[in-house]
Amino acid sequence: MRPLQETSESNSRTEGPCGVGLRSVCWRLFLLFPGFKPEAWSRTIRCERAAFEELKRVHVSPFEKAADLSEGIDPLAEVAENPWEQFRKDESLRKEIFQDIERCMPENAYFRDPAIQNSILNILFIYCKLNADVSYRQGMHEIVAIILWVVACDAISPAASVEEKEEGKPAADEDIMVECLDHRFTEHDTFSLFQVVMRSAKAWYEPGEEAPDSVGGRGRSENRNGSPIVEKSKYIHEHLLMAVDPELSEHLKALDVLPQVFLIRWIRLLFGREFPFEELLEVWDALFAEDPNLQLVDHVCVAMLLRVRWQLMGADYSTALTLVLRYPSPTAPDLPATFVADAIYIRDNPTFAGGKHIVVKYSNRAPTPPVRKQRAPKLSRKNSSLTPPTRFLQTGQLESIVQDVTKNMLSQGERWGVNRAVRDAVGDIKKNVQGFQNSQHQQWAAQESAREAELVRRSRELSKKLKADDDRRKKLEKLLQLSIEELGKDDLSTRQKKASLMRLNHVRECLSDGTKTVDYTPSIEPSSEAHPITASVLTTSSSPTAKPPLSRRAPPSPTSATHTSTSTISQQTQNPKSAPPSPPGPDPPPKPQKVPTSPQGGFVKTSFKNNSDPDFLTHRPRASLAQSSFAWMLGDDPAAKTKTAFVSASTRKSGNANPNHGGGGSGGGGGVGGTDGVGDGVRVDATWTPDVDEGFDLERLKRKR
Amino acid sequence: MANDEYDFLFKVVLIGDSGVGKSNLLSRFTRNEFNLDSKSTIGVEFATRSIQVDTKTIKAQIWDTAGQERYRAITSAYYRGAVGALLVYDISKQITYDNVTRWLKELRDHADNNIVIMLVGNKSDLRHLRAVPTEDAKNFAAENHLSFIETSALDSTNVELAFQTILTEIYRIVSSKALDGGDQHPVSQPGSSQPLHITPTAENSTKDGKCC
Repeated sequence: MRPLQETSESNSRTEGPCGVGLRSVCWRLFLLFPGFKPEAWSRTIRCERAAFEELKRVHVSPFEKAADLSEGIDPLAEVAENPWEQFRKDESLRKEIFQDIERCMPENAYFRDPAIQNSILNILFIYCKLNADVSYRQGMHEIVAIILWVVACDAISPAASVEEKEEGKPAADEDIMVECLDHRFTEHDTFSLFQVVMRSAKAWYEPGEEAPDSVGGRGRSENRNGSPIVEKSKYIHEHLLMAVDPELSEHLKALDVLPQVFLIRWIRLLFGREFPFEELLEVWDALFAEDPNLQLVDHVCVAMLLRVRWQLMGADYSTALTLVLRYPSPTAPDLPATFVADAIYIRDNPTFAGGKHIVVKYSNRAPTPPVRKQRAPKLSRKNSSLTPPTRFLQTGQLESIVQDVTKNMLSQGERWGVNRAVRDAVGDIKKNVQGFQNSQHQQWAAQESAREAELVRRSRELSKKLKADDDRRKKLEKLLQLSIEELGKDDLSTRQKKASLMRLNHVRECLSDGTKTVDYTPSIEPSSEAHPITASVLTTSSSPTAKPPLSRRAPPSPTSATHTSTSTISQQTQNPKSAPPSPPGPDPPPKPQKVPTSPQGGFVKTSFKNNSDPDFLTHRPRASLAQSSFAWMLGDDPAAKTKTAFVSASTRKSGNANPNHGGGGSGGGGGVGGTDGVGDGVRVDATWTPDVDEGFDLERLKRKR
Repeated sequence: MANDEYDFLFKVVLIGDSGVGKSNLLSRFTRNEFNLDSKSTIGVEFATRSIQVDTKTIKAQIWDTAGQERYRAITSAYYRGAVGALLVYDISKQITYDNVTRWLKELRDHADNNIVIMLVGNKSDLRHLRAVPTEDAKNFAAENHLSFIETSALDSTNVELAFQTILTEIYRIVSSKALDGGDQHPVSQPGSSQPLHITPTAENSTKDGKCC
């Protein structure tokens, strides 16, 4: 298996096993038979094919007998109260799918064959029936089409193989092959392969939190971040690319080129529109061979961005967007499959050095190292911040990483992206340190060593913190255990005893799980004012199943929570009959608080909003758009203007930056006399007083006209 | 890049149901191309073209996206900063016209309140298949304060005019706003926003083109 994977990944265009007519076998191998046990192949494909046959019978046959509704409806009756309505819905879904199939790969005559189109339709329709949550999304049709093409190319009719049977190979192996490639099952096998691809790709097609087809849901969530593809795009831009080429990542951000705008197509189609067909197949060979879960896709995106790095660095908004939306197809010898090799390299070397290696490889120009002097003060400033990192500037990269590591180590069960992000981040720190140690740049030596020391210090601090936290937790647990035992012995009233035990047990539970946010509120149970122990209500923010016996009175500030609970509880332990503890004193925190602040642990979820960073002003916050996208244009924040595409570039480009000279031209032609002046007035210029007025007033203007 | 000096940059989005011809309107206007077998748009397409309005160069940055209604993931990025929208339907497919109200709602929800909207009935070459009467659409547009035009990306009818009109309208609004907003420009009196000339093709705009 491994050698096969390696040869598939290697660049040999026609010599690899995928290139000489066995591509569909390889794909089946990588995706369907990961165990590489030929003896199991037959069983697997037979199962898969039988399953598809059954699905087809249930879901598709009604439409093949469409004229006879009474017969066709029967199988559908189990899923809908009104079979007619379900049938109509399905019909319109099939119509919707077919509209794309008709336009699928127009340059390839194969896909104009009605039988082929029908196969694609069946596959997609059945997929929709099995995945009603996502159903059909434009783009899936091209994934199916490509797989179908590959499977069909290798398909043979069993009869032909009978004649070749005498060629000396063991019949068993050959039979398996023949069975695998049986042309009668092209559609079945395409479906199986498509399903495996969609195991990973489905999420990229999910629309996000918004209800997919309710009319009312359309406008609900302008700012929602739930769409996995948007999250993924951000992750690629702000983490993966940032790690290997911070300058490029920053540049794209400064241009305001949102990554999802182009990545949505790159990723959803698995680069299907970015490369010529034959070369695309090689990319897929390598992708499937490397990882059937398609994790490498992210890194391929980074590799593609690095390949056009210098063009992007010199580009303005339009040029940059055009470049990534019409990605220049690489020419020999660096055909698209090399992106996968680069991606693997980047995945294994997620550092500036790794990125530099790739950039230099194709351009012979090295990007400048990301180290900057001014980072030093920032590091300490952000050090104690508990808020999640809001941006990933190169100057803020390290503290972001450190913060995120802290945060994410404390949160469990996050989504895959987060876990991987943590891994990447830890790797980053290590590799950055190593990278700097090895660095030969003398002129950077001083800065680097300082940075390196800072990194090491931080890493140590971090692990120290974690260890201390762990110790604290264990201690608390022991203490509580003790107090529980004590309480059990004391001759308290049974009721008190029970309550205390319950509470303390809960405390112990909370503390034994470091990921829980421990909240502490001194609380008074109404029925027991004289209760010796009234404190220690602990709630957990991340565990709604925990049932604190007492109600929470007020949300305590998370900063004080940990320490106060610690001190109070130890008091209780020593003297369980003491008066209710007074409100916690200003106990200086023994160590920085490590309560996860983001409920979603959003390592990949960064936001431009609510940023208190003063530097943030230089970046245009998205929120202001909601107010009016025109407001700035008419004299809003000049900094914002330069960030958006909606800006007149004339001042920048023509050098006629002074608006006071603007009215110079005569008001030529049939236009209004003052047109020139008008135009100049609207140009971007810094001297304008901010006009926060609500954009332009259409109604008023219409009246004027 | 290369080309340009421009006075204004306007982002205009194309919206409407899948298959109404948005991509071909874009390619017709920006590259004078039409493709009968064009693929479905996945994600976003983008092209620019500069036109002259009066003495000003206006660079239009036109965005085209997938028409599938549930294609939500990039909605906010798509409408972000857009000052104009061409809401396209297919005159031969009633359903695409029926859905215009949904698209208007989408604009209300996601785009700037002041976005300039033009209703575009595309595929006007399919006369024999017409399902949406021009008058209906015209009236609907008037009721909703939209510009209206029928186009054919296939035979080029009115495509140029549609874009010219919306860009000019945006330009006029921006210009007069700038004047009203006032200030340091000694040049002309505020409020003098007479209609600007649209280029030669605009001459026949009265006949079938705009209605409001």
